[in-house]
Amino acid sequence: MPVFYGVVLVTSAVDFSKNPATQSQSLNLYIDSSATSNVVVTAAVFTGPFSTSTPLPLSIAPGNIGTISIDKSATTGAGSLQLTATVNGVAGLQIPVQLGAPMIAVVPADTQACYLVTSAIQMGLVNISALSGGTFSQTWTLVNNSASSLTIDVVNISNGWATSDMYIGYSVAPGQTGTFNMTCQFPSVGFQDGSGNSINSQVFNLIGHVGSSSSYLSFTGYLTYKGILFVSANNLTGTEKRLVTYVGTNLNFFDSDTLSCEEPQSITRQFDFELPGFETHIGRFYTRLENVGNVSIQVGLTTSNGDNRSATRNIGTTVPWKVASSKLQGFLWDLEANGELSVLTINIPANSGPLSLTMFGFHFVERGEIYEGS
Amino acid sequence: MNKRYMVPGPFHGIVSDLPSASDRQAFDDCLNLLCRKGRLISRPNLNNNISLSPDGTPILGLRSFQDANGHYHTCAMTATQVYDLVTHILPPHFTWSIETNTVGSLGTRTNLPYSILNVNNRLYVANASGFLFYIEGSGTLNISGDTPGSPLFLTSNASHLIGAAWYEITASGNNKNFYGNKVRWSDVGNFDSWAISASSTAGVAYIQETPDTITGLTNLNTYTYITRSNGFSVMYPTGVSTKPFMIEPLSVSLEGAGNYYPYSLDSNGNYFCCIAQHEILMFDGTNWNPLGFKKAKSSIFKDINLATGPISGKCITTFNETFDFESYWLTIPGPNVTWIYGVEEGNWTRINSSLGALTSLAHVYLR
Repeated sequence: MPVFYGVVLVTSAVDFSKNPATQSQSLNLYIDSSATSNVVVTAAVFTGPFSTSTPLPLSIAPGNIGTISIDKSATTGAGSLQLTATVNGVAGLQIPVQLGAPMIAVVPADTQACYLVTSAIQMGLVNISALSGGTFSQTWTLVNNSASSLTIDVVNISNGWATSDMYIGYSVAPGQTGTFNMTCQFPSVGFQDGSGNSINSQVFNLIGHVGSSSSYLSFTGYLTYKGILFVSANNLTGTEKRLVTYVGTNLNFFDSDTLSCEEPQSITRQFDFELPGFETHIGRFYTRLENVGNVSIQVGLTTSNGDNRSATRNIGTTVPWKVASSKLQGFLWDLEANGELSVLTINIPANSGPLSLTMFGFHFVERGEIYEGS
Repeated sequence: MNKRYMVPGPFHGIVSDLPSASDRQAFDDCLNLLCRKGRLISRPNLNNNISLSPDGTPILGLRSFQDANGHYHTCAMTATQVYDLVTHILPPHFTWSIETNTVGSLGTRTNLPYSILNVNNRLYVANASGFLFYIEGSGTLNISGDTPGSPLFLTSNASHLIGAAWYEITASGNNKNFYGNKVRWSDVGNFDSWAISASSTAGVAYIQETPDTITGLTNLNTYTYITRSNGFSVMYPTGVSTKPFMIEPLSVSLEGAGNYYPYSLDSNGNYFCCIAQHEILMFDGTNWNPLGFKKAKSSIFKDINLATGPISGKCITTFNETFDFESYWLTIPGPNVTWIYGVEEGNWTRINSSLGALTSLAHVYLR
């Protein structure tokens, strides 16, 4: 990216490494100019099996992109390019163009005795966004089964991945396997699949030569990973789950370990006591309760004749809820009923304790005949 | 010798459709008591305050889920925001704080209950506000791809996300049109792709054969049931990518023999419950079981007639790990009462709270 008088010339990459060495091919070199006047490319000097068919001089207007065709012959070999240009009226400037990729015609490595062993990176359930911009190390194995040393000349990783050129010049002895770590950088954005996972795949390419051969070998591998794009926030452990509801202005949960209801509880039942031959009866409300705690119960009886009676009993036990030996208790209340229709109400005041009725009955006998509860 | 009496039990709950004297095990009313395991027990205590509502508005949706990284989350949705609930454990009391997600504009909001779908390690939420959103566990609220708006109801079937009764944003982006008969499904395997194209299996259908609108979505087995005010339609996968679903009417009526009260619909296992205009229904895929018939229907519909807001139904299976209670809870604002149908016992009782109506009922993680 040469700078002349505040002018920036940016050249694109030209990469012949994925083409058969025995075929000719043309690729374009793009020159982007920030000059305020025309940039005129007057000459292009090549080494190696390269040339251009673009007529020169080539004039590039301000803000425009100039195109020079780079033509490779049907032979192998490395090469270079140097441009001569006139910039802002200054003629004969030698522009040492740094091409983004080597102008090397190569032989695919899979036809040779040397090859590269690569593996995909399966990240699993990993927070990719937490790793964005971070680096990871991947082990690569380069196998050299030839009779001469294998030397790496170029390391290419496609866009989105970063690495150094530290392995240029890396050498593997004949008949040996070289293992090295490549440091790569996670891109900031991945691609999301239908399951919400991020997936990404990039091409990794090495170019080298064996011994003093002018034939260059291309080794291609693929880096792939799969992971999750987000970092979990506001996490819970998932160790306790309750029935929750919104009421009033609050969230509340039902505490099933505490059966002492904060609201009054009641049971209402209407009875028809049209029993011939009895003018007055003694009603006995009989219940069996599980021994679940200390609870106070009020029992009320309202008859159609306006006779209201009530009684209160405190169960008075303190055995906590869910105790295995929850014995049954029977309770007997005597209430006088002298009407044909009566309404029985059982009231449990708010926060008066847990109630667990297992049986419930209302029985009538003749006056004066009172039985003890069992 | 003591005289022993035969006393009835277990309990038959509230029976208001018949004189209770004809059923010695029934009651005319049974408030804040539950019929469970043959017993009549106090309703579990509800005084354990967790948190104040973060923005002073009712919580319209509540659900827990496990994200793709394996972490659990509990989310609460109000008319204005979506929140993560974060525990601060101070035994023996649980005190929660509610933290606001980092979200963008949610668009025009409604006060409707949320339809919430836990699928693909995400929560998809919709209540006709702005767009169809999803929560993935990162503390952000996301718009579901190219969703055209927000449906009222959500479900999924055959790897398609399905929305029904859509509020779709107009071309100008300023208003919404309501399509009460529209069912949309996403591309297969991609719940965030709604655009209909030759390369996508996303699609749309209109339920136009009936004189009503869609009031809910739910699934039984491989079938999706589209509930309507006056009937039901069934939607089933075909396996054909060019026409992923077939939709056929299951029942049609003119007088509300469907899901008449939209948010009363909920499902558990292989049945769903809802309220028709004349009955509380439980459908098991074959039979329509009237839950209120000869039981508490008259009392329940007396309360429904006094409702001042959406009547919400919720199928509950447990209070916590040691207290199972398979039941259908029907909350009616106005009377502020919740009718509970115990599935095991087959009877009704009712509960209330002096604080108001119980809403947004859900079995969620506290920590």
